[in-house]
Amino acid sequence: MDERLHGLLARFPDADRLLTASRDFRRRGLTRLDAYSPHPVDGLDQALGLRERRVPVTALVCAVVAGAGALALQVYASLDYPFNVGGKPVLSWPAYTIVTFAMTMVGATLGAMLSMLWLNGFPRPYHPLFNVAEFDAASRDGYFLCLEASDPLFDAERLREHLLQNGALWIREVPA
Amino acid sequence: MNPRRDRLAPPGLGAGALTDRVSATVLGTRPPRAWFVALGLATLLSLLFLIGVVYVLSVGVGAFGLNIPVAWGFPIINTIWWIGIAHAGTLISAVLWLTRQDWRASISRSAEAMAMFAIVLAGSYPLLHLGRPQFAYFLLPYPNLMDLWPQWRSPLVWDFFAIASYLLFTASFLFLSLLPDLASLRDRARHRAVQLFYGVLALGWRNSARHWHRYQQAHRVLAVIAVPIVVSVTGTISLDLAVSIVPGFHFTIFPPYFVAGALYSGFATVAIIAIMLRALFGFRDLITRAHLNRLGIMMLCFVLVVDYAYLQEVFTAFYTGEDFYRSVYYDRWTGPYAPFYWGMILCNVVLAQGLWFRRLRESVPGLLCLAVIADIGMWLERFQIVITSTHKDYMPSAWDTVTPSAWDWLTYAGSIGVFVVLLLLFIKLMPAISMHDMREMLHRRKQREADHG
Repeated sequence: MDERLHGLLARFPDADRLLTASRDFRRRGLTRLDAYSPHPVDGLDQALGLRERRVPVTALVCAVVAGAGALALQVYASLDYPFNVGGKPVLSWPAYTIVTFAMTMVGATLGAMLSMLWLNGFPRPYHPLFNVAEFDAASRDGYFLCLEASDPLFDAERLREHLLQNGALWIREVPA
Repeated sequence: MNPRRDRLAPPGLGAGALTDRVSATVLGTRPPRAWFVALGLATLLSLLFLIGVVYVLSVGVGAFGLNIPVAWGFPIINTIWWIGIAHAGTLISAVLWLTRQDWRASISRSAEAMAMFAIVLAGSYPLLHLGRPQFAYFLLPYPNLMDLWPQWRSPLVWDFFAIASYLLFTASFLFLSLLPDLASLRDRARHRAVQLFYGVLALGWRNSARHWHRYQQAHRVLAVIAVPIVVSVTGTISLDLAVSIVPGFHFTIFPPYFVAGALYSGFATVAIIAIMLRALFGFRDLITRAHLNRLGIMMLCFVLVVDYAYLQEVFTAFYTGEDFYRSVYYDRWTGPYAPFYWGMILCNVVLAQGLWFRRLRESVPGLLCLAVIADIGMWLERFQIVITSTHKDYMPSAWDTVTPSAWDWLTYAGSIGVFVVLLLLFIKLMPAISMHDMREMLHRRKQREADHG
């Protein structure tokens, strides 16, 4: 039966219960679990042990690469075709700052956006959770916790009890 | 402050009721009749833009009232005006988010959409002004047989990069903020086709804590870079004028002065759109008088900077002791374009003082009038900067007056129609109020109430 199960989905009445439940299951050593809330909840990412900083780091790297590339291109172009305007130096660096700045911003924007989409696995047209009709409330006012069956410590009966102890309103089995 | 009067959302409004209400404006059966009337009128107006563009492209930019010495005229006036309007959208969605202003939640979406469409229009004018828009790619650095490069010292190249990067940034920011709301619409939709439409756009967003974690990181990065973008884009455009040696253009105060004016007209436009949303969808309890009051305060802050800049410009012109600088001002005050100068003073210096009164800021007709005056005043300001400075610069032999042609006015009026059409379609297809921002705001409010009571 476990092979055809994606996990257990439990609904919680509010953000605080979801937060304490997430902490509790993390403390019990579960790693394959995810919480769902209609808005970002402070502390929920720490409770689930999310500490990655790949989005801002990618944005920074892209910003530096794009900015340096833009500056290098302007310098190269000025040397490749030296053009005397009013006796200004061939390498008039103050004039290059604006395009360099604009391209730095482009790099940061694309880096942040695309790394967010990529790391979140988008676009993802199908997910087992979409089979649970009540899960629609996650984008309205529902707070959910999903304990996934792929977790080595997954034991449906025992976890069901713990979920109820933590204040779950109801629990559904999510077919894989 | 009276808490009842300063209410940002109705008491007891829950996240569920809010989501249902806002998504009903998108998924509901029929939009209100006023929406159809407005769309019809705006579509007629936008046809003028289409006719103007087709005519100008077929006979050349001479159709506009451009001539030497005034080579810029309406296209550049309108570019500066539109890009300025866009800036308030970025400020509301990013800077007010960084400073944790709760009142931005219900107006941020319409402000972002406004920014997006304003930039598209701002970008279309320089293309028209080229006369041969098919060669716009000459501004890009690309390998070519002539071994030529763009002129990197030219403000026109800076402009191209500034506007293009701003467009990309605004589009990304708008999509980012729409993403969780698209998922809400997907989950609320009942028809298969509608579910597919929003489902594809939502890319599989599941409101997971992992999604929100990376979403917030990306949002923070974009919000932080929005701060320099807000001050740099209009600042860069002002350099088109300020780096030249034309008296009336050559002022170091231009970048901050342009940015303040941009934000003033932008907040005015946000106020107009907020009032429109209240009337169309009955969002009077979500976009309250407290929101209008705050928009009015923002307008007041920036118009005072603009007024200071007017004073400073006149002072600088006379303090330099240069006859050319002084004569620009005598000409602005008494010359052929004096009505535009005094019209600008009337709107931006005299009538704008109405913003000091809370009673006016909170009254819908009062703020609407002040906002329209602000947009007109800022357009007159851009007009007098672009036209009066070049029509009479150094050599009397080069002086001339130009008159805007009918095509100038038709295209300008039409572009406002295009803007309204795009905005009306947007608020029908997408939630006009950011649902996830509002849910977060309501959640914080509930926590605060729990802490205090």
